[in-house]
Amino acid sequence: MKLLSKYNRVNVPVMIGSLVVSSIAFYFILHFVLLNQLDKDLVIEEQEINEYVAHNQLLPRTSSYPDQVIAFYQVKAAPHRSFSSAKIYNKGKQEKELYRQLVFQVVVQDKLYAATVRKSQQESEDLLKLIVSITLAVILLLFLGIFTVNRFILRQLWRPFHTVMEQLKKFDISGKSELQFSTSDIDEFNELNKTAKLLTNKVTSDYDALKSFTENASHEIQTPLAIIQMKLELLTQSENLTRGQVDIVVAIHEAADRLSRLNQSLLLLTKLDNSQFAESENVDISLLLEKH
Amino acid sequence: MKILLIEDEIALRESICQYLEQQDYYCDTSASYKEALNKTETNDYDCILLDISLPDGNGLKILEELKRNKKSDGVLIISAKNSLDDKIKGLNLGADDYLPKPFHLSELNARIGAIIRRKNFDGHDVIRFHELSVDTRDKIVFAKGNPVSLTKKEYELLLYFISNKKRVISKDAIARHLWGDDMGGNYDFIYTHIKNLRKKLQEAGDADYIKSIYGLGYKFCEE
Repeated sequence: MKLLSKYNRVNVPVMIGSLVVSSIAFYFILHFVLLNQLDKDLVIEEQEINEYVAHNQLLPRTSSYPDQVIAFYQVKAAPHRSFSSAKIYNKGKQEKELYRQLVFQVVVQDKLYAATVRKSQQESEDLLKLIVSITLAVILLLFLGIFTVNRFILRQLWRPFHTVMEQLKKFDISGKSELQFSTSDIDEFNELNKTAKLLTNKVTSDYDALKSFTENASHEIQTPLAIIQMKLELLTQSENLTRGQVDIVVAIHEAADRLSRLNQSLLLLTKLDNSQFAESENVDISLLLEKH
Repeated sequence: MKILLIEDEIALRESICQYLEQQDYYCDTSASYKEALNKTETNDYDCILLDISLPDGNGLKILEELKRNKKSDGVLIISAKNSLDDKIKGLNLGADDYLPKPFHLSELNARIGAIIRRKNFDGHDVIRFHELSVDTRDKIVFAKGNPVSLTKKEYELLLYFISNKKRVISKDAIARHLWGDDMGGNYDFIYTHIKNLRKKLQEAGDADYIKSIYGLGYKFCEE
């Protein structure tokens, strides 16, 4: 199907392109959202630690879970408050994992500490991967579904068009058959049908008018031709034509004969299409030409 | 012999009448359907030449009128339209012959002669020309009382000549009469037939009436 393939040629790359672009954007947005969520949790921890320190003037006891690690390091210079991601060995899972950590400064009893709060980023990463995969799979399935349905539906939809095409191909200007169309509920095809019918009808009637005119003209020509030939015949009855005059008469007669033959051919041509001749057979022209 | 010519084209009327009068026919004319109807009702003719495409009516109706009035005038339809349907219709309505235009005046003359012979003598008529006599029913030719054995084409040729005696007949009129076509202008076969006809007639004691006219054809006449 040419139209479908052209449509697909544009449609498919655009769809795939937008799928790719939106997937990438989706990934980054989701990543950002999840990371944001994680960072908010770290900030909550930071606030809790700051409150505890402010309240108790002591560093809180750190209980380390594999997925959340809080640590304090005494430092000389104040650390920048920053978020970062790092791969760190996870004791529980016994492999390196991605952690999100917040580093900030804590002052306890005039001692400067760098506090790091770490939370496992792996889960959110895994979640992200899962969400994106599912989304991608769904969209792909959607594509395939639409593609296949398009194929089949379009073939059905185009059927009235192909019907018109077939009829137009078989159209014979000298034939008696008119184009037959069924009405469809698609406006464009109805218009196509109507216009095709109008066009073919007009063409046929123009052709018929032309043929009929030719036939009439040919008949009209026969009368003056007959007059010429008859007057010539009368002329030849004269007893006293010189040889020169006879030659002229013969020349006129021959020209009139040629005209007559031309006219007969013209008439024959107009009759041929009118199906006035019931039988027709194929003639091999090359054989005839060779014979003569 | 009285002929009625029903033809609306004036130049054709004049040509045909001129030729027929040269053949000693009396030629009456009508230029319209109404006029033709009048004339056929009031007169009798030996042969009616009917053009069916008249300005004020179809000539075939005149034919119907003639048959309805049980008239025995011979009818030769001349028509510009060489239509098979018209021909069948005309012959079915009782016309004696059908000749499409354009035709040779000599052909018209020969056909009129045939119709009149059929009508007046039931096809049996002996045409005489000096010592020649042609029995048109039995199709036997006698020269000085001796029968002349002619082929069909030679007989038709002689009959054509005699019907158009003293007239110049063109070669393609002869070809069309004998073979229905002018054979593309090659007339060698006509020379052969004429030569054979001359020979047979002269052997039977006939004088040679077939004269060659330079460029124009032949003439059947005494010197």
